[in-house]
Amino acid sequence: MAKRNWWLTAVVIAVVAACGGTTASPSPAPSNPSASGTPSATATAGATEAPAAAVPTVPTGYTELDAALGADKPYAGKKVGIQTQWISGEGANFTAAFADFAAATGIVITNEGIGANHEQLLKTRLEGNSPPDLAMLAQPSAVVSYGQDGKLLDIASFMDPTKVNGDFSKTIGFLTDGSHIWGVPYKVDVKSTVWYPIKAFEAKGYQVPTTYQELLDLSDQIVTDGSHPWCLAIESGGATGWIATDWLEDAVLRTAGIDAYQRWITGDLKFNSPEIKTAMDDIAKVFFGNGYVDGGTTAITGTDFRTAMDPMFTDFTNPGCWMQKQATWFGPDFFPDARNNPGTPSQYKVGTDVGIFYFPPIDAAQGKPVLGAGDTLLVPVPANGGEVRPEVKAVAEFLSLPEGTENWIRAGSAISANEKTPAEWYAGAYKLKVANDMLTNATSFGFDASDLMPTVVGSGSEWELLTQWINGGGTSPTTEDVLSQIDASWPTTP
Amino acid sequence: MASQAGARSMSAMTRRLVVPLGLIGAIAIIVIGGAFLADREGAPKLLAIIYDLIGSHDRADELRQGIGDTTLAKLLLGGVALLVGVGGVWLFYITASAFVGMMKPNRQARIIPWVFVLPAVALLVVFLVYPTVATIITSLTVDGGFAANYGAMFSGPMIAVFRNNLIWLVVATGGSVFLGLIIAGLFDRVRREALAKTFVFLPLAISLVGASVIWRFVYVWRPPSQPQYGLLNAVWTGVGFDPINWIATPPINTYLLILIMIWLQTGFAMVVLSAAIKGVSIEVIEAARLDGASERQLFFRVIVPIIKGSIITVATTIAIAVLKIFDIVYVTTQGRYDTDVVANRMFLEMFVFFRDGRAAALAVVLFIAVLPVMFLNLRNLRTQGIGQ
Amino acid sequence: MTARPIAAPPLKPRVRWRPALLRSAPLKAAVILICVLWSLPTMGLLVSSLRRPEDITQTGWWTALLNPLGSDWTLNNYATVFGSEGLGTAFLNSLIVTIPSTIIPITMAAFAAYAFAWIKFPGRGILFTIVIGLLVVPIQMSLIPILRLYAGLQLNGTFLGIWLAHTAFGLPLAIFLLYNFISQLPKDLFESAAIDGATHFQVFMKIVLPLSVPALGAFAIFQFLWVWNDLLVALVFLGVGPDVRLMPTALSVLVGSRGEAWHVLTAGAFVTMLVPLAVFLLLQRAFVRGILAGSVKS
Repeated sequence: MAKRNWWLTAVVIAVVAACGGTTASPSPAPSNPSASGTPSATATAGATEAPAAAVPTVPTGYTELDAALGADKPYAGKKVGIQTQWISGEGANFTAAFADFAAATGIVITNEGIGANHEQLLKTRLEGNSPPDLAMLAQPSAVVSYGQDGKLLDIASFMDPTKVNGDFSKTIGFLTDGSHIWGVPYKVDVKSTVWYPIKAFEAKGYQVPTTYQELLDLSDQIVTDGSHPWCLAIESGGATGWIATDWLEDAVLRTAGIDAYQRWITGDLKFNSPEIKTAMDDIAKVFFGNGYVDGGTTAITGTDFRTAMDPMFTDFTNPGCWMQKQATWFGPDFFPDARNNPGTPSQYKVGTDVGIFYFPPIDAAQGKPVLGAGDTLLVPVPANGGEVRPEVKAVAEFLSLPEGTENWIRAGSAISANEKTPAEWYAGAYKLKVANDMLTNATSFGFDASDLMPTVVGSGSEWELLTQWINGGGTSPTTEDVLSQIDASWPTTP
Repeated sequence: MASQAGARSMSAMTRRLVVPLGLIGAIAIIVIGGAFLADREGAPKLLAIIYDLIGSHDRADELRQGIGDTTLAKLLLGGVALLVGVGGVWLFYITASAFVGMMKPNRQARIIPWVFVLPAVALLVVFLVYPTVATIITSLTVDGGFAANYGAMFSGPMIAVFRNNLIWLVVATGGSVFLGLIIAGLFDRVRREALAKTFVFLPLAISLVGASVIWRFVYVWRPPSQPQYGLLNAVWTGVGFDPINWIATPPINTYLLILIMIWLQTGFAMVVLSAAIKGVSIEVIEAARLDGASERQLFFRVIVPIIKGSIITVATTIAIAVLKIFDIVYVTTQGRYDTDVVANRMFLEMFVFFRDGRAAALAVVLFIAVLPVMFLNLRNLRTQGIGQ
Repeated sequence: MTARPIAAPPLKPRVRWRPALLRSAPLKAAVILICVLWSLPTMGLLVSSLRRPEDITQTGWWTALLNPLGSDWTLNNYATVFGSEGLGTAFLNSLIVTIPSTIIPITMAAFAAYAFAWIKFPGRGILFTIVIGLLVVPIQMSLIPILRLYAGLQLNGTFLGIWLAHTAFGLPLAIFLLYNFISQLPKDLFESAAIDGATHFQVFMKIVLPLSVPALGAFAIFQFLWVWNDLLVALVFLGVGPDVRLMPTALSVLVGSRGEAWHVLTAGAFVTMLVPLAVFLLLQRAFVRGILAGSVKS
């Protein structure tokens, strides 16, 4: 008996290997890396699970999505992988965002979270003809350039462009080039936010500043009181400098205004112009403020950005630093106690222990601008130019809806890019409510400029030169040198 | 021996049948196996079938849905890889030789060397010769062509990159060889020589990435108000200075990265040079001692000139590795703070800035830089009468 | 492990020079100092990987070493890197990549080296010269074209792709080292085999292979360490996807995403070193012989 089994197995192995061979090379079989590394990130179909929550209940008008949600579950068992930069806490949040949908449709959706090097890997996979089914990318400029290289499917080819434009009126413009839409905005983050210790502020009688001058006065006050006001650290490996670009962008929005800001992105307004120089002078007041950062400029460029706020927690009643300007993706997962013990939540709560205030206006004439960034869903053309499978389109359509982010929102940590998202979903979470209020009260919205500029500048020279500028205390190299060098790196041909 | 006898007694008829079949089988295994290995889902699929066969349908279904434990599938993949790669390659050589063995003797003699040489040569052509040509063409045609790509080599930042590579070349090579020589000379005179050598030699087994992490930890910087847990700054502040963020402080940072390479490569230089020193004939040493040479003079004036050839070989070997240096810079600074080198810049151009033409031009420059070594190598061989 | 030896004839045995053993204290002190200096960085890594995350950034690792009983030691960091940081998968992947990438090039190179050394055929000189010339071609030259080639064949991100790449990149050195060795085998062996009527294949199997075991072993160690420790080839052809990460890639991803988490980094780095260190310490002699076979010139 055992002998026969063995023999049978050997034959089947030969047959299977042969079949594997035929599907692998000539036919455009969708390649779909297995999820071995991240078993927990995979949501599965389960017949006995509770009724799905975050799933659209009425027909959406999207063909594939409505089919997927049909009673016969036509795509059950099909696999869809999404390559993202979200790992650990964020990865779990994203997985939760599509878990109910996966359960309702039977589609096996996997978050292929990469973390650092996500952009490089995506580039390799797109160029190397082994693209993921779907991917999330933070740089709209890269999305559009992939689209124009023929690597992406035009969203308008399967989703109603009028509906898409209506759902994402503020951000969709960054992803279109006239006739095509190369991605769907998924999540937005507000960057004009400052994190601070609420109770320590109250104890010292510090007021949340409403103008830039008040912010600087408060900083001086904290120095006088014997502490360091700013939790400012920008070291981020090969990406060191991106936090400085956020500061500069917020300042440009607040001094030169949104119109100048847009011209700056396209290269029509030079870095070495009075507008940008003014903004540099404004942020210099914090970066080079005497005693503002423990350890000075060396500490700013030499400390890992994830640890910027650590001194606040060494003695939480008497913080070692008081304010961190960081976007809304930041949160308790990054507090030191949670970081050192993965899996255990931080003991500090956002809203009661740590608060957020709006990075105040500089020039009242420019109103209350908000700087933001976002992640974009893109649909790669499959290997060797094949058709995008319907279940992939269905997942893309689902993620474009408010329901596609609902569970992440309810976890208190994401803002959907879809403007039709009900405001009451945000009401429960302090961080989201504050951020949503900022967006609502905003007089203008600027999308992260460095993510829109050519990558040689926005992910290259600007990062590098601003870091040098901070390292050199703003004098060696001088502000003007830095700005004109960034201008010089701007590519002559797009 | 028994198999040999069996092979000889095999009748010509069966031989004529079995050998071609074997050859077809070998090619089939390589092709089918290759296709299976190229299929990213191949291993889980195969494992699922096996689960079905042994009656474990639940686990088979889990695997098909991509949620089962794939460790076993991975092991299966490794097993098949060994079978196909190693077995297939061997089967090819065995059956192809047998196939040729059936031909007329004079034709055999002409064909058999090609059976032995061709697989290797074919791979080399595909993976090294063709790419060299293709890269040169890319550098001349993409991203603005020759003028733009090679013109960019003379821009300010790029000149700094080449300057750094030159510093690496001189300091890392010189440092490793010099330290290796000194240590080889010193260790030659103590009793526990082998043990002592192991300490210096050991880093050679550590990957450049691992070494970079090790040294990043040595160079860690903390604000003066905080405890210094990086070894270098602990010593530095211990003698009364302010801590320095070594990695971000040019120009010393480049030298500190080079130190990582020296730490790794000194062991290599030491082993080779130590063997060379031991090869110096005792008569020469005795003669020098009789002439009244001190031990130091003996080492530098007598031994070093004699082993000059070994020193040059070691230096060129390390120099080639240093010219291509990538990992250390990629892991520690990614080229920031004025530490960029050619290979890292190339990676950056290719995968971050998306300019393949620039990247290719950098590769070509690197290639031109090692060409002299290649010619030296070949001349060396020619004088030894190899390859005639 | 980057230095690959280049062309040079094997070491000729000579009369060994034994210097007078200087037992002076300064010499001994210098030797011990060198050994300590060379091991300090690795020691720091090992000690830190066994400390609690909070302790690593509060005090230097040497304080724990000087007061081992008063410090808290833990293996948690290793549990973390093998579990949530996915180094277990990377370990398995590294084995799957490294073993075929070591054996296949040796097989191919041995056959080729034998043909180059002992069979006369037209074009032999030219072909061999080209192979030796390829010893110094930077791998960087191959990256873009092979990436494109693989794109058409859908080999990017597959183990087959990286096996082929490592096999090809390892071949020039393998052929060169094995040629050096095989060409030095005594001529009589081959002549008497020819008289017996043995075919080239039989000669290779019965004479060349068994006699070349030392050289084969030495190169195997070389190639094993090279492939295991490689970052660039893995980064480009396999990528950093969680299911195909190798040890060095996983470690470099850790540096990128957990750059501040020294407890994870130190443990991770030490894990990646385990296999090469074991191979190295066990087979040090064969390894040294391999280096010498390739690069000593006397």
